[in-house]
Amino acid sequence: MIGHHGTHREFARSILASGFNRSHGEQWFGDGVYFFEDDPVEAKNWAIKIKGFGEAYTSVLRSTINSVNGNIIDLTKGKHWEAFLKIRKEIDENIDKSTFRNKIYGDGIALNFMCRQFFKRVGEPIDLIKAGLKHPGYDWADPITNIPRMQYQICVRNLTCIADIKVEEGF
Amino acid sequence: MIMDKMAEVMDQYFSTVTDEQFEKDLIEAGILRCPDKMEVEIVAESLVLPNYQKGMESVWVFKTSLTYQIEPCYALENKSNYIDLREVA
Repeated sequence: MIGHHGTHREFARSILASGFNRSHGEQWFGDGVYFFEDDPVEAKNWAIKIKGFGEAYTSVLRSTINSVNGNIIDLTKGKHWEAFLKIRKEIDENIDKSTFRNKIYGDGIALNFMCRQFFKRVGEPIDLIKAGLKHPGYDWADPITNIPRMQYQICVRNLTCIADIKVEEGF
Repeated sequence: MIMDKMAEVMDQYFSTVTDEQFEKDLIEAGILRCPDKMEVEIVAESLVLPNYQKGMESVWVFKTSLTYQIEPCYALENKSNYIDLREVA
């Protein structure tokens, strides 16, 4: 698949020179490098509107993303989403009572937990997680259309899946 | 299918994990905080941390996998024991 990553042009230079680094922390799908699936427009919008980079300072990188071992969690698919929800509920029920529950606990941390346990027991990393999100600022009560503006994001956990990084232009 | 395998892994995990191991795994993942007492320097008074005064204070901090947090709402750089409230307030 093709992924687009919006960033500051200085960061883009560094990525082109030495590759991506994984983001850590409480990211929405957990640790990894984030892309919009074949969508340079969303990648650019994200860099400008969410990250606040000026348009003149924004670059969009295009990469080919190939799963190395086929371990893809695709939360746009019903079966994957239902399984994720079941596991997430199970974790939540087990920690609900704890007074030490982290206030920032959310989907990203839960996915990190699952992926870590998967690696420990199966010996393979989860290559990537794909999910759909509502476009930031989209109004669900839009009076003109019922079709929501969505964005499809890919969180690449296994960096060996990323190849052929180049600057995307002319979109 | 990957999520079948994941569900199987997690079912197996929950049915075999000990309480002690589960707690360790949750702390490692940042889901639970591990409380620890730490000597920190409070460099500015703040309304949002009313129980602490300027100067050295021994306070409870909560270690996650990535940050230390001081109740109610502080995060500071990992491995640091210096909190500048002017930066986080």
